[in-house]
Amino acid sequence: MNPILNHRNAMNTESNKHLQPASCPSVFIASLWLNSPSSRMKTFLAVTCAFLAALRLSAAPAPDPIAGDLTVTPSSLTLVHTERPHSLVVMARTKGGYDVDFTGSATFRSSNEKVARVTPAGWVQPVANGSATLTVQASGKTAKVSVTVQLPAEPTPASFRQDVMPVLSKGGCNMGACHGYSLGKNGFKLTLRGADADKDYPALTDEFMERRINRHNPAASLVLLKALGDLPHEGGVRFDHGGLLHETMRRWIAEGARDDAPTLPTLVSVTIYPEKVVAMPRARQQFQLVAKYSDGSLRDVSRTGIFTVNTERVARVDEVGLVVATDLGETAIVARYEGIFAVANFIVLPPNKGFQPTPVPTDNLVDRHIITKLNDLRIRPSDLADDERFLRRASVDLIGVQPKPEEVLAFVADTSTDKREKAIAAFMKRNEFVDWWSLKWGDLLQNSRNTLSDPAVYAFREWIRAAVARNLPMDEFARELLTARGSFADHPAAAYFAVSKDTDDTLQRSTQVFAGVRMLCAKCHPHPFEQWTQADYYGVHSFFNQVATKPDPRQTGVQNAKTVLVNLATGSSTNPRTNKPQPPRYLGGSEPKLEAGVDKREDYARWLTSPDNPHFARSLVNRVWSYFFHRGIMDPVDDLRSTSPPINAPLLDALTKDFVEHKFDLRHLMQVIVSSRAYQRSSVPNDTNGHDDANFSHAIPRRLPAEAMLDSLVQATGVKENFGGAPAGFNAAQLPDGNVQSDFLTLFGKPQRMEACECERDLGANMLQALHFINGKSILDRVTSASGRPALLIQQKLDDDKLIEQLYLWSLARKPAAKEVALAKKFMAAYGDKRAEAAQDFMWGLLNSRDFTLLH
Amino acid sequence: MKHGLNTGKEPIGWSVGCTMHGLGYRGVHHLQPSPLIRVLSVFHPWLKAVFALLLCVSTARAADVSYQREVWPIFKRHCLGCHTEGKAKGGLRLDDIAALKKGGKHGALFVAGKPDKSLLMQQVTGDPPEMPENEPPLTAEKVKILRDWIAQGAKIDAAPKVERPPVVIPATYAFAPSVTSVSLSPDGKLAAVAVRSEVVLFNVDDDAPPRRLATDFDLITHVEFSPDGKRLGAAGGSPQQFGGVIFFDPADGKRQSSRRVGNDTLFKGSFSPDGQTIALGGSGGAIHLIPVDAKAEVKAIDLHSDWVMAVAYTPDGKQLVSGSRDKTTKVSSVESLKLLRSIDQSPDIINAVATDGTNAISAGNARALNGFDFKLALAGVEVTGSGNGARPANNRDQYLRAYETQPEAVMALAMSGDRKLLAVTTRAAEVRVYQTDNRQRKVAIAKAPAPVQAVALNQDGTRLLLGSKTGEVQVYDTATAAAKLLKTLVPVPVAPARAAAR
Repeated sequence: MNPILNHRNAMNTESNKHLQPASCPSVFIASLWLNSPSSRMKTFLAVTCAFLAALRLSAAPAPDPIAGDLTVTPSSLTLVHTERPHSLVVMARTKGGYDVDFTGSATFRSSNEKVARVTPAGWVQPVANGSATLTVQASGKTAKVSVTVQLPAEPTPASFRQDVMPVLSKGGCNMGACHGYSLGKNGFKLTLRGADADKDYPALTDEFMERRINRHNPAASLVLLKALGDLPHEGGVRFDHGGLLHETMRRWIAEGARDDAPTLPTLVSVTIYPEKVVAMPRARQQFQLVAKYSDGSLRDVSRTGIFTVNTERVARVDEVGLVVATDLGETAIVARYEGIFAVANFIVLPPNKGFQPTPVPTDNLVDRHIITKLNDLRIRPSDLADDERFLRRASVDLIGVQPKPEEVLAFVADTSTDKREKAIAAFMKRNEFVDWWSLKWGDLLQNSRNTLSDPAVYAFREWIRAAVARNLPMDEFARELLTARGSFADHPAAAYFAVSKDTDDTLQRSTQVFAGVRMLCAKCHPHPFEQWTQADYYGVHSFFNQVATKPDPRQTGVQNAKTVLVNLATGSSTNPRTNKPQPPRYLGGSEPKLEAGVDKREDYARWLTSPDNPHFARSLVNRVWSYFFHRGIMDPVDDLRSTSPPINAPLLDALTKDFVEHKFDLRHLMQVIVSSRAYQRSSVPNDTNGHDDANFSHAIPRRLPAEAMLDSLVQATGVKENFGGAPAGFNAAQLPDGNVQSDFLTLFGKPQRMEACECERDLGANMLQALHFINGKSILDRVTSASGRPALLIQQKLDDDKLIEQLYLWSLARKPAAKEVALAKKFMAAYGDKRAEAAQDFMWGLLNSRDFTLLH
Repeated sequence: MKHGLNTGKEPIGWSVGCTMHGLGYRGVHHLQPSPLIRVLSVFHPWLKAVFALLLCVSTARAADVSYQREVWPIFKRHCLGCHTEGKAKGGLRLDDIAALKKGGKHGALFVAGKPDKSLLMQQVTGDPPEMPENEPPLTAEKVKILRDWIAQGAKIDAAPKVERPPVVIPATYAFAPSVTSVSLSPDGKLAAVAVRSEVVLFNVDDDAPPRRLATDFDLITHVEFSPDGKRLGAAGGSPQQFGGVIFFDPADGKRQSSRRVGNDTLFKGSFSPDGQTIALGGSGGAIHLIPVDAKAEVKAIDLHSDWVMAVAYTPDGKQLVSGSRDKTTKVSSVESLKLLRSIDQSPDIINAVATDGTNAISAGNARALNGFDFKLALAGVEVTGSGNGARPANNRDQYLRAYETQPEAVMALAMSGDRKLLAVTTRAAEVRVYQTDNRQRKVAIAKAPAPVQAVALNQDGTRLLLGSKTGEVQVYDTATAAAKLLKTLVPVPVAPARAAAR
């Protein structure tokens, strides 16, 4: 029995299960009925049975018939290898626009079983040369597939690279936790995830007197016995007896465990089918993975590909690429085969119960693309947030502090139709705007006294502030930064290079910030999640390897005083895998011909900031988006890879194009984002979008960043914070770096600027924060201070309504609702004449509420 | 049928329920009613029938669980990686019935009849379950099998069958088998070569057909004539199963005796000068001293932290030189069975050792071929670490006697019987013979079939026998610097077959 075909045969697909009648309970009751002597019992049972049947019927979904024909992929097939069958995927589309997979339930028949056979699961096996036609039937429809079999005269022997290496990956043998570990396991080491077949071959066939394989008695090979679990194997059972993995490896050993000829065709690409699926809830979808080799041949590798799902809430996938939808939403299905990734898009939509699409706006490109996607997903966006909530959100996001009461009242009272636009423009003119965004760049560029001298930190800070203040186009900003040299006196931005420990550090920092990619993994082996190799890593390394820092001779005695030097004579860096020099190579791109003796960074910066560069503008736009929402369009923002696709590619593309067309104008980008309806939506979900946490159908509440929270707290209570380690009078957004003493800021996640990662800033919530708010000095001392807001308000001798309104406006930047006023009055009344105390306690309560700590 | 309180967890009601069903419910008054039935009796008769049938249906299908067919496969697949003879985490072994019943560090694994009091059930259930460790939890079906098995008394109906493929020695090989070890008889007339699971004996000086001696080892790692030529030792084993040595009579090829040692193959070693013991490297880091006398006990010297790849006796039989996968070379005492000194730490694995009594010689993947002066290396003592790192007081530079660096990783070393000549083979095609007194090259064979995995010299070093991974065996006249090839052969029949279809 051919083990190769057993795999999918064993899958008992139940795609039509919901159409079957209720089984167990009815039979049970029927048997009872037949056996019961009493007529009363018979009646009871009859009623029960009918009730159950009615339940079943009402749970069945409304019929959605198939529109059009069956699509069978591939529609024609040429088979050239006895051990390489090819699968068929049978699909159709319903009138309602859903994709339905019939692969599991279709029937397959071959016109000539002497040429090609097809299993009940749809796998086509070549038998002998000739042609045949396969008939596929599902859901009352038929499709045909033409098959040509062209087997070579001699059967093709198993290949180490084409057959055994994928088995080592699929079986998990070369995982980082197992034999792919840098030191191997139990004396057996493979290269991580099959990075180097040249090294893996002798490890299997040569080491220690060939003890791992026995060509003369293949079944006794140690490597097989362990993988089968027939000998104790701490890694567990990896092969099933007679299964595909076992048979492939056993056959290769039996054929002599040969190495490959150098002319063996190499793997060129891998494609996944279907690339996009719109599925019903609880649907099953079989995916197919096809590899293409350098000789043009195609091969079905679905059974040895490794499938994963990005969003596990939405769907799960099994060992052979069968996906089951578990919840509404969207996920990428990622397949990996021999270091190449293929990604499919899988969307699970609710049933179409008369969904009315939202009209697509044309005035704002953000809304245009978001609404289009929401319509595709049958989601209606929530309403816009009210004025007060909009203003607070935009204020914190743009200038790092919530609005003052007079601003709130003025904004609410304003009747002009473009008041939100005007407010956005006004925010961008504020000094606090420069503070806030300089702080952000200081974080990303790691401006810190940990690695830089005091004067360098302040000079760098001023350079950043000047760039933000005059809205320096981002391409110029990046170019100036990436080509700076000298000490802070020569060019303040040279500090960027002085922060790095070495070239590796510069490479990793700059690619993470300016291209949004994490190159670190590719330093030692092929990247696990993207197609970066060590050649790519050292290619970028060669751009930056001319830079060195040394102590600044003009600032002896100043701690951390450095100057950045560029050695124009430095050649290319060496790729440790090949031990050969790796010429400068653009990230994921070509290798330019550079003249000797030039600063290679200039060419890199020019390439990075050119309008068609795929990394810079796109990653920056995505990153800026994430500052105004709970996530980027691609997430995380500094780990961009094809295996984590954007949630809305047209949106990202359009925003990027617009950004580049406006000459990398950051303020313009922010204006487009903040003036969109998507940004201004309420956080209250409706009946269609409660499950959506990715498509911006409603705002997702998020916590205020540390500095914004502190500055808002200071503003609300009127009691300033003293920061050790910073000039007097600085507020939190103005702090030069993370080297300041502030328990509050540390607790709420202010980054230390030791990493280039966006994740260094912690925007989460935890128990310590809650306890600090409740018990700690930050709020308590402020509200009870003699010069605090409650005291100031009490001095004004306001009546209850005004006092309560002011407390709300200062604390939460909004007016209280009628219910809240009533509650507050009762609260105050309970304190009798201890009015001051009542005001303090009440403000304390407001500042401890989620209305303060979250933007919503 | 039980009396007393029905805890609801045991299927006590089923017999009563099914009986009720069979009799309708008229017969219920004849039976001892449990509290459950007493409670039910207040209800309407048809309700009792429904309850009874539910109980009947839900519990009647619990047929007896077979340990061999249902429980053992679960243990084998999910547990044996860590709970087996070679590695018994928590002191628990599941691959042996007695050990299974005894339990481990935390006591018995199960209480027969009481799944909820059983440690096994506690470990595999829960949120999340403790076991299998670092693996996905057992499916509900498998947990139920274990629970039912314990509930039914945890009976062992049959011992688990562990299938290990038998050793197969083809009459004709499809691929020339790699030669792992070679040896020349003391009189230089007989050559013994080891290929996978058999030893082949052939005459050096004529072309009489070779004799093939089968073993029950998957892999022979070392073959050697005893110093008096009356015995042929073949050592090896089946990887991760057992190690062993077989003593043959070279005259007629009959087995004299055999011993099994440990749970992995033995590696290279040497006969003691008196021929009564063979010392072989073990996978657990010990040197195993195996007497020729089948009744005498096997002794072990615990020495290295990884496989002992090669062992050599000093000519006086009092000390052993050992080289290991842990990259060290050590000298130990035969009498005290203890480490004397760790004399070298190499950057890479040691593959071969030799000694002429003056120097200990070791070589391996690091390509260095090093001699160490015994007297200087063993003088003085400096114990470091836990004691296993007893280091020579003398600086390594003082007792190192380095030969020239080899072109590739060193695979094998062999001393002539008179200990004056040392043959060295590497992955490269060149084979060299050095004089041990001045470490000068005496003979060079330019093009042997590489990689040469095994080599042997006769008593005076005039004959050299080598074996290659390619399957070829060659005999050279090495009396003069330009060695002469006398014989080349593949010791077993080889007929390349078509690639096996299945």
